[in-house]
Amino acid sequence: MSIMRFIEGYMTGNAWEELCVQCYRIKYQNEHYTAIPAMQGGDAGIEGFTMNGIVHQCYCPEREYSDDDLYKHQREKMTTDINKLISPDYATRLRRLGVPPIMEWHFVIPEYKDSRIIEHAETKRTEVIAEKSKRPDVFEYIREDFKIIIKTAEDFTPEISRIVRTNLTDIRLNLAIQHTGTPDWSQCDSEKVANICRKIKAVMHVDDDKNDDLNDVINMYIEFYISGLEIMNSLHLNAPDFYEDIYKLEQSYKNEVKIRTRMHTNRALNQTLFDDILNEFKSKLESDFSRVLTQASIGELKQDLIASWLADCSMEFRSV
Amino acid sequence: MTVQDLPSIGDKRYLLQREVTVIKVYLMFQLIKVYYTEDHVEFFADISAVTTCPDTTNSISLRLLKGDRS
Repeated sequence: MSIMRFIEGYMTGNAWEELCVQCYRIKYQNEHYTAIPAMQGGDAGIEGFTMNGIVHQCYCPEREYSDDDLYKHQREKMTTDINKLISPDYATRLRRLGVPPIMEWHFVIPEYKDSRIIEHAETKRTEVIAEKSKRPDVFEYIREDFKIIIKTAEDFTPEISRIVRTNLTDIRLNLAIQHTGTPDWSQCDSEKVANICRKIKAVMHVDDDKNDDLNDVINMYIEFYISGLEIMNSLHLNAPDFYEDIYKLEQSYKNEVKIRTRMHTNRALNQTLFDDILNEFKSKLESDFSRVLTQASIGELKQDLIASWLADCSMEFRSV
Repeated sequence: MTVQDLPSIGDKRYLLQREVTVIKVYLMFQLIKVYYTEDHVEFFADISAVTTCPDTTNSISLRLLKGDRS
């Protein structure tokens, strides 16, 4: 289980809504997904619909809430929108738009952390069904097998990855980590640790194992190495096209670094060479990824991948 | 990052949209140690991650795509 703590980014409600609409457009293309612009008469309480009875409503809090407050806001939003669904004006608006009888009402949120929101969805579903039972003619636009389904970003991982990577949105992927400087040593074998230690000492020209700065930096690069493995593994599984792009860049520059550091014989210039590599690799990452990754993510990848070169011997710095 | 942009200890900067205070700078490795000004959680990051103004670029965390509820 991952213990990485990501640096949380920012997303407006509008940006989330636009992203969701793009996801639905891709995922439900065969069901002729239709987005409803919010202009001119409101959005009818839904962001869009498919021809097989799916409608969706999006919600993204614009600030960080505690788990309890997040639940309360999500619950309030769901309650408001389900009340809209069973209001008389709503039926007229849906009929005019040609929305087929609703089988699934999707509540699309980045994530939820409290299972009470699932219970709330079930409570609201039974309320809608009860209303339909009382007045079936009024609620003919709701099917008898009506369901409320909570969808999260994870349900749209392939779509979000594709949308972000191909610049169909201004939203960037954020993979920056809060590094504590206390690596989980069990995740890094002793040979890798020894390589990182040796090379950091050579770059800093310090050989005192009690030097606090030296130990801070060594711990940091061990942590970067571990987080880099986890991030690349996660990209491989969840956003393989992103992974391929980053892997290709990393491999091409890694070979260059290998040659440059091995041909370099003047240990006095270790710091200068390391600095050059940091700056050049950052520029290469920015050139390829600044439109799809946050600036903090580019810094994260730079350090993670350089840590992997320190650990696996492709980058060498002479100590004598 | 220009020389005059380089952060120093005690500076207030931004990590994405949140204010951080700089605790330490390891310039040779382009690393920075900061804490969130509002809750004093300390951590390290790459120096290029901090900016002089809040970065309100819309972003989605890899954490959400892999469904990590931790």
